[in-house]
Amino acid sequence: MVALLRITDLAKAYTSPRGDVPALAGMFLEVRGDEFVCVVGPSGCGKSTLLRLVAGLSEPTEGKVSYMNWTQAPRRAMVFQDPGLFPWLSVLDNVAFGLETQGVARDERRDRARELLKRMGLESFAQHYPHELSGGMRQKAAIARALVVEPDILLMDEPFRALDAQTRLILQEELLRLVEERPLMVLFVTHDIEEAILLGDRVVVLSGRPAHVLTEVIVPLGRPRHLTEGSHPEIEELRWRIWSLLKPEMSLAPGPRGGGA
Amino acid sequence: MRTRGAGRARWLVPTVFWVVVLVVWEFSSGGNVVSRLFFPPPSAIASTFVRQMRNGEMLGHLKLTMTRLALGFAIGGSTGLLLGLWMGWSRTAREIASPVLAALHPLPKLSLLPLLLVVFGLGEQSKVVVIALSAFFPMLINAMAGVRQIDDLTWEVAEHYHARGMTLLRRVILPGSLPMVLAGAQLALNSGLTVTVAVELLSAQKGLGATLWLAWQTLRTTELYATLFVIAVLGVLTNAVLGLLSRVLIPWRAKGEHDEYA
Ligand SMILES: Nc1ncnc2c1ncn2[C@@H]1O[C@H](COP(=O)(O)OP(=O)(O)O)[C@@H](O)[C@H]1O
Ligand SMILES: [Mg+2]
Repeated sequence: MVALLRITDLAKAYTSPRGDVPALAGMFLEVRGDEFVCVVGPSGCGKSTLLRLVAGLSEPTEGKVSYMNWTQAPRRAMVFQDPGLFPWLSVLDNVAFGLETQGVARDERRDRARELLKRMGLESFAQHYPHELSGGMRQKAAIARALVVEPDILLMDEPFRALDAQTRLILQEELLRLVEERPLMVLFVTHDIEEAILLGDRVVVLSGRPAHVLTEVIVPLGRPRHLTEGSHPEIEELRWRIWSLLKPEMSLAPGPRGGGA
Repeated sequence: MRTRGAGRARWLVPTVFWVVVLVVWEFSSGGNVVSRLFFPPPSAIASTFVRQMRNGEMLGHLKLTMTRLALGFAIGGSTGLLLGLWMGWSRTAREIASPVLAALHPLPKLSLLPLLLVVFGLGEQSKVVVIALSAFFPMLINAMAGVRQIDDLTWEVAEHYHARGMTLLRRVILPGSLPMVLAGAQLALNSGLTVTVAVELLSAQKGLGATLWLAWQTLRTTELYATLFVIAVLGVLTNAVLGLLSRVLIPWRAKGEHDEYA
């Protein structure tokens, strides 16, 4: 039996004095425990909302998120859109935070955090404060903070959005390497179609707000994957297909509040 | 503009200016324009100061004033801090306490002195309590605001990793509110010093405020000035200590952000 994340008829509406904002409606999705799934959709369609629901940071208005065939409740860890590192903790203590709240003893959690930082090439910045790091290093530290708790499900919300193209490519490669080392589920939200194809086993395309799944596309690239090893012509075609699906959704997407639907 | 004085140390001009002011004051005091009674020459003030320091009088008063301030600040500041952190964290606590706060906060704490004298008597207790009250409110307000301005993402990360109890306090609430708590401590100390001196003016036999009052009653203006000088130094020193403290306690701030406490 394969471990699954199953999203059934999920809906979420935010209530506000100026009218309710439906962010998700009628969403169905199934993701295997070892799959890397990228989620693309027009900006403001409800991608972050979806991740927050899966993370348990907010409650759905309708439907449910369920986990099938796991030996124990899967551990979820989120990499937030802005890294959300604590400015008052060193990189090491930031990374170890998830272990600290689990009650892992100080020496052990520091060892584990340091070990992970070493694998990510950040060990020389372990004692630095986040403001002393570059944007790319901060994002790496945020990824390390999520990975250190050894999650079964890694949730990533446009983690590379604020980075320059080169840093982004390096971090994308790094992420692929990390997740190929240890099988886990990744739900990776991005508005960048190319990024979704390069990273994912499957790309889920969302409609405009309120979001539901428009279509799913299997990416014809195997693993391990190396992004810098030449170009992939089949990707080009895929990119246009996804773009042509997304484009009408973007022009349809109603304003940020009310209206629409 | 900048080219002419560029090589000169920045402190030179102000220093020369104030030296000139002192010298003019020194030599005009006692003349036709400047009354010796109101503005005794700096040299006379200095010699009074040195005499009072030598015979231990001034140090005795200073010690007493500092003890009152320290006690009041410790009591009022710490209760204000605890209550403020709690009110910042818990909405229920805020809802319970804020009507009382809204009523008491605008009240000049000194106006409570007569009531406190009735309750606690003429001794040290009533003084320390009114000083504590004056330190309590700025500390509470700032600690509460300090917790409330911790951003949503920080709370969300804490919640996501199931931070609770002491871990939440030590890793999120305390450091997140620390800059504002320190600013609150500074406000509390300043307001504590004001009230300490005022209480001593009103109802003390000893202490810097009492010395001021005695000096006025006996028209010994050099003593008045010497005491004012000591109070000013005390104020500057407490602020300097807090500035230093914030530098040591908030190493995660980018350089230049410390200036507001200096
Ligand atoms: N806390 C909230 N309160 C009210 N509306 C919200 C809230 N969070 C998001 N929204 C609204 O829900 C919609 C989807 O938001 P979000 O999930 O952040 O979109 P995305 O991540 O795809 O850009 C947006 O229209 C946004 O304005
Ligand atoms: Mg988003």
